[in-house]
Amino acid sequence: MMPKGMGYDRAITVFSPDGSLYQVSYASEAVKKGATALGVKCSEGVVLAVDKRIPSKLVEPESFEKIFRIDEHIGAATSGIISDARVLIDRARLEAQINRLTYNESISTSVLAKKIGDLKQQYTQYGGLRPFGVSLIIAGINDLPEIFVTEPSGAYLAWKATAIGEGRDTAMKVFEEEYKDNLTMEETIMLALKALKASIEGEIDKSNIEMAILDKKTKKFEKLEGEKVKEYIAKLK
Amino acid sequence: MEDNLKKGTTTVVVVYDKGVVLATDKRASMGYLIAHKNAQKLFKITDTIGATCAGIVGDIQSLIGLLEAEANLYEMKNGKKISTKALARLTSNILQGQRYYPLIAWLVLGGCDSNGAEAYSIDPVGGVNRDTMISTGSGSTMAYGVLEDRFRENMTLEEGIELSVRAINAAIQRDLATGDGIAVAVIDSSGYRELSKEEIETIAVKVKNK
Repeated sequence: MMPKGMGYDRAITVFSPDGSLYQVSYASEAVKKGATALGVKCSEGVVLAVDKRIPSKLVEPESFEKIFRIDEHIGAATSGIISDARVLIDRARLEAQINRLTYNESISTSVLAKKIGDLKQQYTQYGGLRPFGVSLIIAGINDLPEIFVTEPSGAYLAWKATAIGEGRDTAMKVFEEEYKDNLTMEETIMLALKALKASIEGEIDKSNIEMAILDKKTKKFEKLEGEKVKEYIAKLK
Repeated sequence: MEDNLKKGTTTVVVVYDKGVVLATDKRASMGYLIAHKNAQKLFKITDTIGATCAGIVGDIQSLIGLLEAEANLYEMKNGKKISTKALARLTSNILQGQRYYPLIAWLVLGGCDSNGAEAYSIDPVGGVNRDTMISTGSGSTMAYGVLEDRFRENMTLEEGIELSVRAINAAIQRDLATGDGIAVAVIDSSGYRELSKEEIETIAVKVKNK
């Protein structure tokens, strides 16, 4: 007699008797251990922020990248296995360009989130593969600002404000208490920073976090410069 | 054989101030034979996009069927209707993808959406040109004579319809492969609408009298 659950995590394509795909659940654990990443939207745009969680002071902080530009109007913040994330980011960029070539239009955020969700789903159903150990916060502006989170299972949801990674619970608590529908861009940036600060142990400064915004006026993805991040952090105190 | 199947046709698409008028004749010819006297060359693709076609009937019908399917899929995937611009690009991609086994079809897409009223002329190998006044088919030389003389930007709906009918009528009078009546559709912000036979007849009579 095998202990309960034994063996059902050996292949991703095998269900356990109670209906779980253990490898998919384990992939979600990888995300829960990842550095905190969050996204907040308001009527004026979207803010993305991540804890870079630099492992050593000898690392060049600029080489650490966890927020990526997907297209002119879309960006993504990641948490989990960063090398898995890079593969998904490459695919997302490719899909964005394919949409431009096919329809002469920029891809909508929801269509891109679904494409990434579909790819992740394939990695839970085919033998010999393992699921992506990463969640993406995909933020974009077409007509309106939108935020989607894709999970390792391939599920994706739209959010007003959300966080992934180890600080999720702390950050979500801040959002649940303080998020309002009528925030300005500046207030949204400050709320994102506040939530990030709450979920990080120790101080935050411009070298250990990364921020990006999408402004509804320009409809363009823009990484915030270190100096700009520093200014906002100063305002937080 | 291909030459015999080629449709002699006249189509006219005119952008007016609030929408776009699409007009065609109804004759399908095979050489000197009039193959059909009520051929469909005017198609509704979505509620906001219509097309006029010249070329080989089978190629046109299969291409229009494909475009309708693609437009439906796009709407379901994107949660919004496909724009005229996007459908023009998609049509171009399909035709260019068949560069060495081409579909013999000259399409004009006309539509009205958040980008405004637009018309795109698309050639059989995927060349796309946006314009406010377009004619295709064997009778386009005659139609263009009328259009060049009378077309203005920002005409009213009535002026747009009258001009389109006038241009098709010129081709009916002088092109062997154009005739057997006129079909007209209008697309504005409230959607696609085909004019009734009576409406078109009234305008045709008016056009012939001045």
